[in-house]
Amino acid sequence: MFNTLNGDSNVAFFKEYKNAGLTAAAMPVVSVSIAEEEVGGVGVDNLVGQLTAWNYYQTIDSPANKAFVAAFKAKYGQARVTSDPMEAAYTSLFLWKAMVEKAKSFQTDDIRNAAAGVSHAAPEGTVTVNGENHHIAKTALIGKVAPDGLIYTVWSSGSPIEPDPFLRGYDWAKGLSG
Amino acid sequence: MQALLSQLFAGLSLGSVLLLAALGLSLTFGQMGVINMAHGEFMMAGAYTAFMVQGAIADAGISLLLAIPLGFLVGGVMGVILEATLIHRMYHRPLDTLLVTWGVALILQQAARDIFGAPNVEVRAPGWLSGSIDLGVTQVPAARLFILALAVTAVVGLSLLLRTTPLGRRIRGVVQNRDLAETVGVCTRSTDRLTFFIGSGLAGIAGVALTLLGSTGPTLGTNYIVDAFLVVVAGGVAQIKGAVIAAFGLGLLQATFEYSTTASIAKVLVFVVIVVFLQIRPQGIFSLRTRSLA
Repeated sequence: MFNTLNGDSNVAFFKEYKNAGLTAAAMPVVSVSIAEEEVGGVGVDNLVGQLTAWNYYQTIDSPANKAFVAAFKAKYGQARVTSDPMEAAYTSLFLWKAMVEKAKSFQTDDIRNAAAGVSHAAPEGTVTVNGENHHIAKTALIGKVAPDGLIYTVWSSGSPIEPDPFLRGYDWAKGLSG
Repeated sequence: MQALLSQLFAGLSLGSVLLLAALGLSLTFGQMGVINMAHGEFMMAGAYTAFMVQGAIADAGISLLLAIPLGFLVGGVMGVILEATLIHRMYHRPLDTLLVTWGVALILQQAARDIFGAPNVEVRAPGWLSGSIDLGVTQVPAARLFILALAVTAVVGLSLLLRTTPLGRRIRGVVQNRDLAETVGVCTRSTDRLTFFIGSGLAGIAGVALTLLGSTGPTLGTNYIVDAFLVVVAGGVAQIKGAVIAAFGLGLLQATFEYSTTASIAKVLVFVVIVVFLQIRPQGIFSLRTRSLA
């Protein structure tokens, strides 16, 4: 099952999924909007073994991520967890800082012109701003929800994927991208 | 046949959820004329009560059964506080109650965010309520069956209270003719307060039940408040039986439309049906005839 539900609907969905007698072994669900933060609200029991697709998990084993997680827990409490949207917000600020330093200016136009190729060693790994569309190249991950409520990587693209927001690299999208 | 039965049950189940959410409102809005936008937040308080009880008692089954009366108490006490501090000052200004209670609803939502955090919290369902029960022809989720039973119990309990107890007689008397009730010695002030306690308490019970189905978070109430008002308005503001028929009617309609279209289109169609119905019968399914001038 490919699950594009967002927000509270996921809670109702996974509760009904379990009530219908389905399990991750019988019919696995790949969700695109479930992070560590949501696991607590849906209930670990309802999610164990399910897959998620995202760019960051708290369990990423790197010095940058360990420092990020430790600093986050020190500030907000040991029981809290980090998630992809948090990491993305955190990283975006460092990217902006790098752009300002490169542009040596706070003017929006100067920063935009300096954005191309700006890179940062984020908790998720190195991310780089694409000069053409200003999206960032990120590493794609697929993770599995474990009984401890955290998500562990089971597949990784290995290296960052160049952003393709206008679907130029897909044969089936020819004629759509214009 | 199997599809028909499972859709029938889906409709009844949805109806029972609507009924639980609307039952308290049919007392406070229907009988007292107070537009209480914070009714949904009393449901949220009930849901968080279930969460707190589960924090204290690990066993999901015992904590759920204990949370139901406690949720009633928490919702009821919050209702009485709201009535005593704000609502009793504006019984003859229904539109002002709408604004004031909406403000209270926003304050309560933010309070929940401050106390419990913005993300949803988890309330575990007990083992005997997860999974399905095989009824031979179709399978029904145990949690939904439990909520159906809870809704029926709440309706029967409330009807018995209104019909057979002295308090129920006083409530009906005040609803039908406030001035006359006061003239014959009924203390309308304390009757109003008790009615509000019961109505808000029922919202608390609904909140506990909803933790079995959906998310437990600060905005839980806003998901249900519109539907609850729809049920009360369509059912006719003065009658419990109106709310019962409207809740199950809307539930079955929604499930039927959902089966043949999609969830969003079904919602639109249900709204259309209600709008057309209220054009023909603005007073709802049932209306109360009294000699009161008010």
